[in-house]
Amino acid sequence: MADDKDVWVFSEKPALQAELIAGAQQLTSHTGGQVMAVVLGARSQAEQALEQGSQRVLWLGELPSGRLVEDIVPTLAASVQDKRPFGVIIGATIRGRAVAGRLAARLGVAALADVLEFQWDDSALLARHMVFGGGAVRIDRPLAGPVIATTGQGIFEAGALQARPKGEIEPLSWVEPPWQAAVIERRSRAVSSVNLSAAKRVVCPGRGVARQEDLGLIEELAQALSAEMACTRPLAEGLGWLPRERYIGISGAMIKPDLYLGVGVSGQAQHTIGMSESRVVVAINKDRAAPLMTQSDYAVEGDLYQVVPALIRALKARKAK
Amino acid sequence: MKIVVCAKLAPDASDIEVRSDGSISLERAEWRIGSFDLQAIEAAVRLRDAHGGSVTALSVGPQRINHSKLRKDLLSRGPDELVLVAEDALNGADTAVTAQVLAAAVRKIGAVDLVLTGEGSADLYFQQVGLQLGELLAVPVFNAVSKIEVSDSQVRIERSLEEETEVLELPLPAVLAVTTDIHTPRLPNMKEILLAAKKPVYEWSLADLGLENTPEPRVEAVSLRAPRPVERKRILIEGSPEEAAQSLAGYLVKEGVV
Amino acid sequence: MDFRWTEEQELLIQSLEELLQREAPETLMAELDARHEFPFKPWQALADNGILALGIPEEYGGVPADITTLTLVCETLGKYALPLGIIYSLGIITIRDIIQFGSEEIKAEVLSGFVRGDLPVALGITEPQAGSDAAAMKATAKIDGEEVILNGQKMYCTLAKIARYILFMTRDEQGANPYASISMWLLPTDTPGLRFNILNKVGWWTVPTYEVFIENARIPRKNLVGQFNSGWPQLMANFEIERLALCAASVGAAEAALEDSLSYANRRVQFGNPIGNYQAVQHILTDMAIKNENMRNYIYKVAWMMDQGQSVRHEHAMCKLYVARAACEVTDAAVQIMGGLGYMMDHRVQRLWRDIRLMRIGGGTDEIMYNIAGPQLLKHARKS
Repeated sequence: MADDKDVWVFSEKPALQAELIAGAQQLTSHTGGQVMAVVLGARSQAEQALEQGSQRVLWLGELPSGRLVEDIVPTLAASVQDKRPFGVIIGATIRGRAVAGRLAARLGVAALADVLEFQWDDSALLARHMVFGGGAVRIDRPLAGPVIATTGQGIFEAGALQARPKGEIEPLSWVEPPWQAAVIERRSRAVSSVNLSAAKRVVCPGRGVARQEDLGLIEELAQALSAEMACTRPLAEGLGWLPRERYIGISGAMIKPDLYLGVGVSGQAQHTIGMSESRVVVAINKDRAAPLMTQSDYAVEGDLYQVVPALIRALKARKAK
Repeated sequence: MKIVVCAKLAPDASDIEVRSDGSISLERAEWRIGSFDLQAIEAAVRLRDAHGGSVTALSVGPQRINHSKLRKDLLSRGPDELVLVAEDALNGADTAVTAQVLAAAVRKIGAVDLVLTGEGSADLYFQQVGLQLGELLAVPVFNAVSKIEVSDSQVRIERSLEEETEVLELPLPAVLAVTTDIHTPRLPNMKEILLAAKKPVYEWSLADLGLENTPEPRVEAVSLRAPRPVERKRILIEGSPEEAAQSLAGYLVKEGVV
Repeated sequence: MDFRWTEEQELLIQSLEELLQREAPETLMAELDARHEFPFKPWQALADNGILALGIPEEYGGVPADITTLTLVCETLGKYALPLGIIYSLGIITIRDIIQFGSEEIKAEVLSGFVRGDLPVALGITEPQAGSDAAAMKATAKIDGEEVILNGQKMYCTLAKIARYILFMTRDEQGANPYASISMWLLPTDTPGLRFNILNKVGWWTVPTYEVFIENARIPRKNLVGQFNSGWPQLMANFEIERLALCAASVGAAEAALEDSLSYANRRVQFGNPIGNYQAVQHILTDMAIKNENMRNYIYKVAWMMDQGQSVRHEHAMCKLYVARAACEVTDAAVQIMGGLGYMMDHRVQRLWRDIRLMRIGGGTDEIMYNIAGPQLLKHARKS
């Protein structure tokens, strides 16, 4: 353990934790400290963090019943004040953001939100993120330590699992939070187990699709391409046609597939920022002037209700050959 | 009940101008109430209408926010009064500074039962000022709140999380950051717009809040530029739907994505 | 001279624009037009958001608004959803006649209903043989105790069947001076004895126009609006603001047409360049913009004069004459700029072109506007 050199990571999602560990390793290779995962869960999860590449685990144990993930804030703050790491990277889930914001306030710093990339300017850490609804890139430098940052899924690439990891699992003693929220109920949401970040091909309907029933046609296209279905934010949050996990955008999924095919997508900056690094971008739209049409590799100006069926036929014909 | 709703007044991000060198200018952008804050204002106003009490709108930022039209815009959406902390020292204030100033203002307003904020600011969207604010006030604070029900000195909330909806009960006072789907904000009508000019506005300085010096910044914005666009081929495929589909399929095969 | 709007007006229009984008998007307006369907939901949205309350006395749920503000509202409606601008403008004359001349009972009934979302009161004035020569109308009202029996035939009565009331004009044939023999009645459209025949127009498809046959329709005598035989001056009192409102809606439509044209000129590539690069196109667009600017300045000058209490007897006629023709020219130029696409039902420019053409006829023909303005100009010149 070293002062101002170690980088801690925390996410209640093990898959995201693995990515954060990889990201933290980028930082510790510069600071010379260790990567330490803060783990909330069973001992096996603490061990999993070591397998994912964490050099040490700070183990909170399992969440007591009736408690929330967010209740770890006082414990985490006390540990940070005690052990003085260089920084803490927290997975940018809704709970993660709650933890990060509250932790930052307790430590008298600001959290760097939704970091896309860390850079170094000599010994100063810089963090890059999008602002202005995807219209601009801002690089921030924290002026005070420790550095608290959140990063989302798909920003860092998780390393290979270590077969026989070494590393200590250090239990942290629980600090009782000053206030409590009572959990009344939890209702699962119909969550598709979609992992857009892992999809190699993505078909994305937008507002050009007039009715929810028409998504069946888009689904057919996705199948013909062996692609995953995504969407723009209005189709998920506004219309509720598709689950939230499927929407691409600055506040949703940020992906880098081989193929992004937008159908009836105008291409607002808040959306395109989530797919602008796709290898091949295709747009189908009635409106030639829609932003996505000029920001694509291939653009088809036409009525999607005619083009999409024709494309499905063309793809199937090729497969049959 | 006494409700405070925080709103950020900032240049409209969709009006950004990109200069030829890639730098960003907001000089000609119109200043507006953040779109996510409108939902918080609506939520606050509906709670007041249901339970009685008052809604105080609160905004902190540079001098520019103390503008007649912005004040009227805020007050035309239902709040009873407005507190402004408008000093150029707060220009570009980071989330920590903003949260500290808001906390001081909430303390000065006094006897507040509930503070509402939006999901994040419309321009930067860091999604944390509300959370920092709650922690500084040492009260229960939650984000992603999609439903609020008040009874006595308790509040029952629903949080829209990624995989579940969580229903929690917590004591007041509390700070809640609401989601976009909590309510559709009402559009101001002329009656409300005309009334807005008559509602009280309190202009407080940092000194009034007991902050003799501006809180120390914790983050420095080192650069702000337009994102470098990925060069695209921009091939426009024309022809009938059948022809276009055939061409496109051919290109997809050539690109190796099919 | 301050050309700026007040902050209240800016906030109102900001709110209205957002409302229209939400409740009356182009896709919906196009669909309604194709189906010849009245925009009931968007109209109700205007009511729900307090737009219809503007200019109505507060005791009936209204909010004070000067003529300039109403003109702004009409322009905005015209720009985003011309049918709403048209409907609103048509209602201004009848609603204001009710405000000025209606009994308490009539006002309470009609104005509160309008604020809540009722359609405007239709105007029953034109007849097969009486268009510009409106005073040649032959519809009659015969007093029968506490009731009045109405008979006649009205032509080009827009909204009639779907509105709740028609402001029905009758003529006392015994009266020597036609302009002192006309009376104004509030005629509920569900009164027995009314028959409606819908008319098939080139444009204004979402705003139905009817031929109305009135046969021994009985209404209470207290449905007289204003004074007996004072119908003509009562009507004239509000013809000016109606014409101004129609102008404002037209200006909005012309702006929409210019926007579409500019956008197209920037995108459409022919002979290797966007057509906006060619001078011929730039000239057309510039002329359109100049006309829009002139129209806009004219309507707000007239609105300002009316708010100042000044007479606009010939000014409003000149304004209407100019705006109707200029708006027709601008929408026609828009069709030309857009070429083949301008003639396609797919795009809204054809709808603007069709809908605006009526402005040179409805609300007072170009020729009548000349007849109003010409003598007034000479009269003023004689005085000096």
